[in-house]
Amino acid sequence: MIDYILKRMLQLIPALLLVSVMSFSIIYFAPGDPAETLCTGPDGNANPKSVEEFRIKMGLDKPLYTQYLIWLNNVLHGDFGYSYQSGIPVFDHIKRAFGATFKLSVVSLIISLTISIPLGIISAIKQNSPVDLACMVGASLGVSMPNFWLGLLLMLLFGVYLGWLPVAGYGDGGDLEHIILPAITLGTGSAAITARLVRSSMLEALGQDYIQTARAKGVSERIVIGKHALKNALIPVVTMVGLNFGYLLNGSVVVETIFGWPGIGRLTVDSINMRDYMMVQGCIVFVAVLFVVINLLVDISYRYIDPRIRYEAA
Amino acid sequence: MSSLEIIDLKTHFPTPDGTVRAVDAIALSIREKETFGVIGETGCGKTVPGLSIMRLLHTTAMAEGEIIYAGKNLLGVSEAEMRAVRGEEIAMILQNPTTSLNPVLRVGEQIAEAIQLHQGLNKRGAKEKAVEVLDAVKIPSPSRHANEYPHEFSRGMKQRVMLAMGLACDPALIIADEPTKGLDVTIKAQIVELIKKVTEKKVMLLITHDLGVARILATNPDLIIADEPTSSLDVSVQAQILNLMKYLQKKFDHTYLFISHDLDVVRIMADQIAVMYLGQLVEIRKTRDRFNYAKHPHTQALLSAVTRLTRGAEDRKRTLIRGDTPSPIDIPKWVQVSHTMPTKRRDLHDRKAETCRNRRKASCGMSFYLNIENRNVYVTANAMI
Repeated sequence: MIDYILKRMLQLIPALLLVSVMSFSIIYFAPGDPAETLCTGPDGNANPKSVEEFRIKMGLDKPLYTQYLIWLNNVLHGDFGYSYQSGIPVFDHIKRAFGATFKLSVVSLIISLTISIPLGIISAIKQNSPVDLACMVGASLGVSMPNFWLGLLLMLLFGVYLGWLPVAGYGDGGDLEHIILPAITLGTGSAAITARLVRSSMLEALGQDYIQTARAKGVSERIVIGKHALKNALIPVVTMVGLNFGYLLNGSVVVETIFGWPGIGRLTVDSINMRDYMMVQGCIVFVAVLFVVINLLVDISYRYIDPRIRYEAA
Repeated sequence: MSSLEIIDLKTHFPTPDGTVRAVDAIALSIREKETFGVIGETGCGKTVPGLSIMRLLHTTAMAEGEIIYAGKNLLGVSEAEMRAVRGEEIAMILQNPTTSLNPVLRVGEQIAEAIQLHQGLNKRGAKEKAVEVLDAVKIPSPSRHANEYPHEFSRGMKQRVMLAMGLACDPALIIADEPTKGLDVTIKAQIVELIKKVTEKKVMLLITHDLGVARILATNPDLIIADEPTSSLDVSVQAQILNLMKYLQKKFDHTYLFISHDLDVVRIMADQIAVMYLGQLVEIRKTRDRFNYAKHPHTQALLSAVTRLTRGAEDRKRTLIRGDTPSPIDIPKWVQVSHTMPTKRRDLHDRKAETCRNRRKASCGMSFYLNIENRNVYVTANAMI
């Protein structure tokens, strides 16, 4: 098992190198210049002298590969650089933003699962009944609804008309009041997909012979469904929920933007707009690592759900 | 006194194309301590009465009639009452152990579940009982295996687990649906023996298409066809199985049609031996006539290929078969060289062989009729019989 994890971690190295080279070059070749963006005063014109000074100070005058190697060397020493804009270390920015995104992701995941798993199970048990139909129509709606639109609707209803919840913002370190609306917005979409998957894998599990065996033992229908079928049905669901959680942790740019949530998605986009090279590079590498780690966790979790799976460091 | 009585059972499945009458007005009565066999080919609806008794049919199915068990009509009781019957009073051993065990639950847990449910034992007590039951069905080191998952078991072991699950609560009636389907004959024989042993004082309704199994379990068998019963075993186990088969034969007057490619095995088992080659029966002779006088070149080649450990045996000349087996589409002349069969049989066989030759067809589905009369007939098969 440890061999397996180590091996997966080693595979991470070439992937990260590739990701960082690509993102570094893309930002470099993209139009715009951090020095000019930063040094543009309120009058709309950048002072050529201060632009030149900034370039030299930040090493932006050097060729691309030199810049990359300097950056890489620093990263290997644990230094992700400083934000051009704020002067605060990139890593501190990411830490703060990731904290916000993590909170939001966990709450939306909980919302998503509490909706999708019961709905999926009910639909599967009452297959082709009006209940099933209603659930699945709801799920289709949930999938096809763009989340910014849903977010705005929720904002209007609960924030503006009813006034129950704050319209947007992070509040006091992302308190429950502020988190509910963005979390529902994010959770609904994934709940819809998950519910469909739970339904189909439950239907498959319920058709298996071992369900008949369980019934022949005189086990009640509740245990047949909740234990014998569900545990088997969850195997594909875990993959999807895991990947989904990975996406959530990368931060949803749209939802974070409309709700003014200072998460990692927004940080990335803002940094790109500001041509804050160090921040962009830091965010991208961070997200890449996160995604690989989540994938690994999903793979490891299989082992606990499906005893047939064994890992070998082959 | 009858333990289970089925009166005029009709089980119908409505489908868009019309009603499928899977079971149409059957009636049967099973006495106590009896084993009752239901035989039929695949798709004849022999599983359905079992499922009807257990009330485990698909929700759309309609079961009519009466199934009287312990004075009550099982088709009329509530679902809760039925659950109390299932597993405790009537157990069903479903076919196909590979898919009938839950892959994500430990084997011991799956057996303990019914015990815990019906006998009011706590989790630990039920687990201990489950280990006992595993021991009763001869699973080696049962306490270790109880903690394993079904995929760690061989097919034969899974079948034993299914049996254990059925027997866990000591039910009065056991419905066994193809309990030996998909098993090697040897394991099948073991399972059959096991079923026989553990169901001695119980009522059993056996559902199978396997006449052999049904006969062993339901009545006294007259004929057993053994197809490669020992080919994949190592020699010591092979000997055990062969001895067991011989013993069973003496005890129960079985007749075996023994199919094997192993000449030594067949020498031990058979009274009469028929050699088959390229879909044809090329030679039949009695074992005591010795192989040495074999006439057909293929038989000679087969015989000389057997390694012997006796002194001087290696000096004898071997007839080696050169090249590949001839194509059955174009059977060479020498294949039909000799028939040392009794005249009548020979005539019959010649005609068959003639047809084969004319058609020049592979596995021409040649059927032949052997006079069995409690004698073992050996067929060495390169093709199906």
